[in-house]
Amino acid sequence: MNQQVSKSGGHYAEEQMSWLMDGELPRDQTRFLLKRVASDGQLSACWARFHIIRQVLRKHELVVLSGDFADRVWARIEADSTLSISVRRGPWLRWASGSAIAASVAIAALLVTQPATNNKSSTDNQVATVAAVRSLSPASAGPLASSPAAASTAPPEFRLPLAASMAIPASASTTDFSQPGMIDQRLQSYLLRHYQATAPVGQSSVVPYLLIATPPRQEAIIPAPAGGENR
Amino acid sequence: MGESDLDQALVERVQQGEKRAFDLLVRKYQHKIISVISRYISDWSECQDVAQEAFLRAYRAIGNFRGESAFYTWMYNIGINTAKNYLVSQGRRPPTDDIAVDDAEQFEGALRLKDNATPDRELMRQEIEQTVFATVEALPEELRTAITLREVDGLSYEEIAETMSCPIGTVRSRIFRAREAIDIQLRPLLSDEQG
Repeated sequence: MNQQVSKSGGHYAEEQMSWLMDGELPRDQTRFLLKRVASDGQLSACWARFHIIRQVLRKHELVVLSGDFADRVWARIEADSTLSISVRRGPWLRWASGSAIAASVAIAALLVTQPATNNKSSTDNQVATVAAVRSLSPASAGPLASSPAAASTAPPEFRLPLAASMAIPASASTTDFSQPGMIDQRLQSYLLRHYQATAPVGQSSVVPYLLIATPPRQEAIIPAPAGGENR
Repeated sequence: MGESDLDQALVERVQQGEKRAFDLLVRKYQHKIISVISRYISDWSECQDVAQEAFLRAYRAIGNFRGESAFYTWMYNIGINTAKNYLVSQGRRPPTDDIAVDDAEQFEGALRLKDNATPDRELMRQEIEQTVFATVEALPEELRTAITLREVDGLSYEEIAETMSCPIGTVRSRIFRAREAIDIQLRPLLSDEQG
């Protein structure tokens, strides 16, 4: 045992045990002491004896235990792999995890629906232009599709920040969103997965709001009336 | 940090995966819990088995312990319930007159384990008590005062420092030296008892 001798002549770890049992050992030192206890059975024994002294001085019931009661409890804990601590998640944690799922689904849904909202505010020519851009190689399509001017063609209520609109070409390079029903199918898939993930923990969802806010597919290909007003 | 706070801190350590902290709680409360269980189960061997089971149950459930009550109160109830369940499983009827945890320590002096204490264990208990009190009496006055103010009167280090007009560091040292002196006398007696 490699114990440090304290100024008072005793072993420093045992002195720390004394402070710990009085609640006077700082938390950071408690952590180190517990690590030390894990590898030094004599410290555990010291702790037990100090508490016997306390029991006697406070005139509490003292039960003389045979041999190694605490050791047997410890051995059972160590040996039995089924003896795991079950931790119940607090309500705030369930709320946070559900919200994180909802937020990620919402972002994914917004990224997917972004081309449709562009189309909604555009004429047929604009739809054709977008499709033509997507048919280009990513290297040539990138600068054009990610330009602020292209992003600004979406109506203000559906407009994403520049960073989000810049992400569109990468995902759009493999999917033609101009196909009727494509967005609805993908969105439906996201929604189903979201409901499956959040329903078991009783989470309310922000996604139904997005579903309501997402314009019907037919509107996306109807040219806007003169003046550019959308309904 | 009071004793209850210390227990809560140890519980939190266990919840964070430091299992050894639970061992300290077991060693701290093993006498009290066995004493509680012995009011329900007179057979000494059964009593220890049930106490062991109670601690294992507590370990399994400690993840759900949120400190709404003191750890000992929680552990006390687990001990009582484990003892009652054991009696029911053995086809015996558990007593209906429970002792509240707050009253338990008052009853302890009167309800010694006379029924199940063997003469050897009773002798050992008396020897331990005599050794502790005799060693305290023989301590230098400043050590005796410090340990008495702490253990009997329950004062904090700060309060003891004020009472004894000395720095807190001196109080810490005196209390430890007193414990160490008693411990040295106890070790030969306890070498065959618990670790």
